[in-house]
Amino acid sequence: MSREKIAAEHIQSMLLTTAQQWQAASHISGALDAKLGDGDHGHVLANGMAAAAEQLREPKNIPEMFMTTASSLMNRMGGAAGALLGSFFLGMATATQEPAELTLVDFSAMCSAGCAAVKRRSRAETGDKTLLDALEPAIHALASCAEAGASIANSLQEAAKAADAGANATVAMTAKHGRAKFLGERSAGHMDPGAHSVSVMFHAWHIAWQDIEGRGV
Amino acid sequence: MAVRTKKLINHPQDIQREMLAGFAAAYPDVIRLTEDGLIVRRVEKEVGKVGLVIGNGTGHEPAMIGLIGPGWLDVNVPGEIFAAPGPDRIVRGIQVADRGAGVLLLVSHHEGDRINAEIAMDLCAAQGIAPVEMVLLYDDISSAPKGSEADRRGTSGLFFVWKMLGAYAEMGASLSECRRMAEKIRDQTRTLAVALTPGSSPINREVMFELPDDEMEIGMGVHGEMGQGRLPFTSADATVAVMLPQILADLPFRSGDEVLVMLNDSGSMTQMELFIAYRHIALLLSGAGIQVYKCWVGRYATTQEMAGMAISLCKVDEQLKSLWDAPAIGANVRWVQP
Repeated sequence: MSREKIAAEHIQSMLLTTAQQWQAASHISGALDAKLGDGDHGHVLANGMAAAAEQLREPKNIPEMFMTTASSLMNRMGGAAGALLGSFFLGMATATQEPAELTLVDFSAMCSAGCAAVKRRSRAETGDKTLLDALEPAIHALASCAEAGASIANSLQEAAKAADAGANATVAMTAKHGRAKFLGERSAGHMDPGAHSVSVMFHAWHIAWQDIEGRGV
Repeated sequence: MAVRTKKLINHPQDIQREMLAGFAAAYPDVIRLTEDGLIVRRVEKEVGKVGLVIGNGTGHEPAMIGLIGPGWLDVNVPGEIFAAPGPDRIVRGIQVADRGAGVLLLVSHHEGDRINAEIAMDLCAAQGIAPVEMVLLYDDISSAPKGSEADRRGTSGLFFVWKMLGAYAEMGASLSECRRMAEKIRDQTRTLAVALTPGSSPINREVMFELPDDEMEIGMGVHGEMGQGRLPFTSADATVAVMLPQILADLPFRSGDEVLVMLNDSGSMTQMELFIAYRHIALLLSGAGIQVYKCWVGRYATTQEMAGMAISLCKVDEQLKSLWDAPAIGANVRWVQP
């Protein structure tokens, strides 16, 4: 049985699980970043989200939680990655219509708004070997599922699968954006660390939702 | 791989904070470290003059912490090692720099610096922190072709902007005049760099790129970003002879022009090597009929211990010459007319 609504406490679980999963993946993300950047993406991301998690333990409504996450990522991480992941959550916060409870369609629309904010800030396009290459397919999968009336668990699983495929596709790409752009053809052969982190995030959301359903909350 | 370089530090996560604390302790007469980690002037700029703010990743010292003081900039917002500061700290820097005539936010063009600055500008607009303008600065000819100047990245040639704009704001120029002046100096500046051996990340102490002993990379960026390609390692004169004509052709600089020259050491060149290279730069410029008004040769913007140098030229007129000659007293980068 899938839930019809996503409540504030569920969003809280999804974000806290994201913090755990980014922490668990920090060595992998760091190793990926060492191939294309300066190797600090993993621990900087884990620290930024840990700062958000601390504040997320206090009760907040949905837009407040996304705003807290955005601010922590932007200001604790710094750099392009912090600003762009922060912009995603800021976009979600700004697009929130219902502060207490969301349908999957609401949630999907908020994710699309977050993705649009990332695009506007980064000026990158799909195929440029950035986090958008995982984010856009995941958002599209989520939107299709929401439109088709799929369950939340299945929708999040499909989004995670699409993010994985998108992140894997960055391996073959030549970077056209960010610092890795200046590696030119030498950037091919390595996964974009930002795209990897986005796929870890969607998996975290799916894990959190399975847990929510398992507990029958 | 995984050969670790020696760095005299304590814990990697403390590098930025401890460096700033030591810097503040070393130069208390010129600068002050605020509680929120900003480097500001010890003696504030006069009320009614435009404030100049720059945010940047650290690890490039003396840039940019060394360039805060009379005749230079007013506030530096230092980020973590090689990572731009987040938007809230930039907004704080803008508030601190405001002396009632507005603030110009200077951005050396890198993805993280641009995005965080744009978010900071949106926050200023939303919170009514005013007036503030932003200018995107770039100079590295290897990072995008001619005609796509706005895609180029910011490197050591921007010192021409920092120096002359600092003088201009000190003279009482308005916010819009300051922005236009920054754009003018940017548009007359060109830089090309070469790297001989890599620097290493102070966080993991691993080299930032691999470069064989018999090669050098033309167009290396300030974080070890690759440039236009590798050439066989060669002599000082031959290296200058490859680099300088590309710079001259890009603006272009022509016979009869007057220029400022900056030869920046990216971290571990000897003065000996720099002057040997400068000798050939002076000779080639003279041969091209280009007159050197003044030059700076030394270590101004670094990529840790990377061995290499950047040649920057800025075409000047009488106004820019007088701005260049004005005194500028930074903590460890000081310029007084001899």
